Order: sequence, then C-alpha cells, then structure tokens
Amino acid sequence: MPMPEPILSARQLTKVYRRGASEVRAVDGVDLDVAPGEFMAIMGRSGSGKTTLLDLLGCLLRPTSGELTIDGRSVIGASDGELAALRRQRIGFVFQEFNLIPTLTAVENVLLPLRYGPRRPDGRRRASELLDLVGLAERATHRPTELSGGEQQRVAIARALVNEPAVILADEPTGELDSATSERLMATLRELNRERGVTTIIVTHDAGVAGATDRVVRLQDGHVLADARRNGGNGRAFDAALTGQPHTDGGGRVWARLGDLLDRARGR
Amino acid sequence: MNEAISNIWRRPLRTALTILGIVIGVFALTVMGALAEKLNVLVDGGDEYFRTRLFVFDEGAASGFQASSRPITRELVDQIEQIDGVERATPVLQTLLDPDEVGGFDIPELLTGIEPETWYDDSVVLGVDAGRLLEAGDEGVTTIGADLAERYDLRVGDTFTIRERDFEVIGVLERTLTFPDKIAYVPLADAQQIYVQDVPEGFEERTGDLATQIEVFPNDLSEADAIAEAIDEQVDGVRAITPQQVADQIGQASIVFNLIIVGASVIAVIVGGLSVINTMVMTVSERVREIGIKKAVGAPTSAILREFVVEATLLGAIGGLIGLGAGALLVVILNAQTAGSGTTVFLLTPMLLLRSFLFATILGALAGIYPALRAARLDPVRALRST
Repeated sequence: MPMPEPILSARQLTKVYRRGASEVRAVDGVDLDVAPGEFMAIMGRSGSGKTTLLDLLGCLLRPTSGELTIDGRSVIGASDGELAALRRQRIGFVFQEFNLIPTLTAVENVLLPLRYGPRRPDGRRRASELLDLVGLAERATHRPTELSGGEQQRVAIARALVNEPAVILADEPTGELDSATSERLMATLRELNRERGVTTIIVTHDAGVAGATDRVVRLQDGHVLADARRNGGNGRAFDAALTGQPHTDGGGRVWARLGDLLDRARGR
Repeated sequence: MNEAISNIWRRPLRTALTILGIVIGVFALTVMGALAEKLNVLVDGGDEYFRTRLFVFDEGAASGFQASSRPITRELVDQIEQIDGVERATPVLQTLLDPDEVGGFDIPELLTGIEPETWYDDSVVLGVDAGRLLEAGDEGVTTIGADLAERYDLRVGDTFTIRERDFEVIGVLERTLTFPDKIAYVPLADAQQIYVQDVPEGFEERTGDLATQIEVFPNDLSEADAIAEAIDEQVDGVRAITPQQVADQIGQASIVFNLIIVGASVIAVIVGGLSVINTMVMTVSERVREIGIKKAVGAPTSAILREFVVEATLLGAIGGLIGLGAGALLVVILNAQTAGSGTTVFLLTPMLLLRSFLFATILGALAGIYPALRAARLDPVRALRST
C-alpha cells in the first residue's frame, strides 16, 4: 500500500547544542514521515532527544540542519512570526504539566490560540463543543486550580484542537496522571484519532502508553533506533521498538524469544 | 484588557505599592502644577497690566515696586515729559496697604495713589464691576480690587479704613486675576497724606510733591528702550524700567516655580517609572512559563509585547487617576480654607488634570517597554520548560 502524502516530513533533521567547547547532537539526522491520521509514539530514555525532536516538529525550535515540511511546505527559513503562525494553525501542543493559564477559565484556555489569529465568531461555540467532546462541558467556567490533573489535561487537549491542527504533539501527556486517569486520557486521544482523524504524536517513556499506539519510533542519542508499526505485520519489531531491545542481531535470540513469549502472552 | 486587569491584581500588595509610587508622583505634579497655574495667570495678567508703560524709580531703589524706596518728587514729571517720544508722564504713589502685613507667596495688598486725569487712558486695562473709576477732583474715596472687596466684605458706598483714614468705596474693579485685584486706588493727594508719615525727615513740607514712581506713557511702545535710555541719561537720580523689564522681573518668580514643577515631574518619573519597571520585570519573570505557553500556541511576539505594555500602562493610568484625585482634593480643600482671606494659592485647570493623567499613563507605557521586550524575546522552549 503506497504511503499517503505525509503531513509531517523530516529529512536528516539535526539539532546541535553548543556548550562551551563541546557540542551535544540532541537530534542527529532523523528521517521521519508522519501520514495523516497516524497515532504514534516517540520513545526513548531521557536524554535520547525525544523532547528536542518534538520541539523541532512543533516549530518551537529551529533545526541546525536538515529539512522539515508540514503539509508538504518547508518550514526551514521561516521567520519567527511565520513559525508562530504555523504553531497556531497547524500544531496542537499537549504538555506533561498541562500548562494552562491559571487566571483563565477552562473555556478561556481553550480559546487562547484563537486570540492570536483572525477573529472567529464561532470560537466560543467551538470551544464549548470541544470541552463537551473531552467530557468537560460542566467545567467550562472552572479555573485550572479547580480541576483535577486529568481534567486539566483534557482542557489542554481541547485547546490543542481548537484551531483544527494538522497534528497534535503530546509531550508525556500522562506523566503527571495516575494509571487509571492515564488510561482514560489515552482512550480519549485514541477516540479523537479514530473518529476525527486527528494525527497524534505522543512522546513518552511509558511503554504502556506507547503500546496503545499504532507506531513506535525509538530514539537513542538523537538517532532513530527503531521505527515499527503494529500493523506492519511484524509484531516483534513493534515490541522491540517498545522495549528498546534489538531483535535482529545475532546475540539477540534470547530477546527475540522473550518477544515471542510476550506476543503469546498477549494472545497474538 | 480584561486579562490585564485581572493580571495586575494577581499580586495585590505589590500592585498597590507600585501604583502608590505613581500616585505620589502625580499627586506632587498636580499640586505643584496648580501652584504654577495660579502663578502663570498672575504673571500673564501682570504682564498685560504693566505692558503699556515705563516706570521711573529713584535710582536707590534696589528693584522696582519696593515699598520702602525713597520718594521721588513732582518736578521730575515735567522733565520726563520733555523727552522725545513721551506722550505723558504721571506721578504714582504706591505703598503697602498695611505696612505690618508681611507679604508671603502672594502679591501684597497695595495702596496706589494716582492722578486720575493723567493716569487713566485706553491703555490702562481696568473695568469696574460696580460703581466707577476715580475721577479728577475726587477726595477721600477709593476704587478697590475684587480680592479686597471680598476679603474686607466691601461694597460701593461702604467705608474702607486705610491706615486709620476713612475712604468711601466708590467702585469695585472687575476681577483681573492679577495685581489690581489687591490694589486700593485712591487720589494721589490722599495717598501722599498717608505716605508722608513714613518718609525720611525733610520731605514733610513737600507732601504734595511726593510719589514713589512716575509712570511714563510713550507715543510708541516699541521705542520704550530708547526712551528709558534717554530718561536715565537726562534725568538725574532716577532709573527707568521698560515694560519688558517689568515682565522679566515678574517672570523670574515663575521660572523658579516652573523649575519646581520640573523637579516634581522628575521625581515622579524616577519614583513611579522605576517602580513600574521593577514590578513588571518581576511580573515577567513570574510568568515566564505562561509566556512560553502563549508562544507555543502561536502568540506572535507583538501580542506578548502588547500584553505587558498594556499592563504597565494600566498601572500608570490607575496611579495617575488616584494621584490626580488626591492632588485635586488637597488643592480644593486648601483653596476653600484660604478663600476667606480673598486669596487662593492654587488654580486647577482641565489642561493640568489632563496633563497629569496623560503623564502618568505615558510614563507607565514607557516603563513597560523594557520588561515587555524581555518577555517578548524569551525563547519559547526555555520559557515552556522553566520551573
């Protein structure tokens, strides 16, 4: 099956930080295509470059080198103002710490991105719909401090959706939530993906979260170590990406067997 | 705007203190400004009142209009009238209405003896509110300024006792907001009778000749300098002062006060401006994360900039309004307390109020620029991940 035109495409994407004499290649030559409607995870240990990659994909950071296109258009060389407009129109962010504005109510937080674009008369109605969609219709006028962590993160998801972005970038969205809340949140994201076709990229180190997605990209030292799809037919490759263990090299037989066991245990 | 209002009350105490800084500055500015307005009206009006003629004093007088200057005598009038360009000259005897009353900030109350037939003409700008001006042949009567009428509660027909002599009030002048408001005009001869008690020995027998100054009306005012020069050269023992010099003398006082206003403004700038800058810098550093969030969801630099400038402007405007109100209140109270004596020290004008308010508002806006630039220049990634 030919891959549809990617919504997000990175070629040799590289971000180098210089600290005095030494330099850190936080993201180092990453190639990545994300098709519309994908529901995927970027995994890696802390320091693997996953957050930097997310910042690059979200146009919060400029790459040191490489190419990045959104909707087929290059964002390299865009001005600060153009990057801000891209973030506003094409990207929706969800952060680990929810990052709502404490002085604004839930619905005002959802409306925040609209404030910086052209006036939309249907903004308020749309914000209410989105809050309804994430199950917070009753909480529209509550401030963040009056909401639980899970509720705050749902507000953040509604905010990310308000401008109908091409892609939602979620940075450890369940990092501050207990496991039950975490599962419900993932279910919501999944539902938005299935029913509304929202392209979603989740950065996480939680295999449980990543395992709920269709594709896992594992980063290590800024490189893509593995990139596997659940429906690509190779369940082992997906699990290997999930666990971060190689499954093809000669010394990995034990792990491969362990992978099989895992597959079997999951009823596959 | 609504967000700016709720934002400044996130730290109520700090905001209140910051606003207080501006309040103090604008308060000083308003009160000082009201003083200056009053003084400027006096100066402008004085300028108009004195503009039409030259004044000739005894050369021993340290400056014009000193009540203690030595008298000059009548024959000088004839000498001065011989000089080219002089239309006429008239003796005037001016002294303090009450020698025991020490002049303060305001213009002193004066007794001015004039020869009505040679003093009044079109160039003397005086109108009567009630009664009439002095006329030739008047005796024991006075036309008084508006402030005197108010202070001593005098109307036409009343008796005004000046230095133990009774004068019938025959006229009350229109208010001029300057010197004539505090002058009692009497016939020269009456003034001489009063004045002779105070002059040095040897002048008593010449009572009818005494004057403190000679006022010289030129044919053409633009020749005032030349005429003054001619008088200084040709008439012994006197000094001529042109209308311009009179205006300059009066202007000296207003320069001093205007400097005080500038000083108050500078203090307002330092106190108010620095406190706004300080507060806004703290505000920005407290809200780094929020700025990061806003940038992440697509806020352009200009929106962040505007947000903080609006907040600082709001601080300035609120401080301005409160300072303005407090200053105006004090001025009104002080004016009401001194009104009984016919003297108000302050003058509130709409322009002054508008100026004070705009001053505070613009000050707030300017003070907000630097902190706002700091906010707008924050790197979104670092701002987002800051704790």
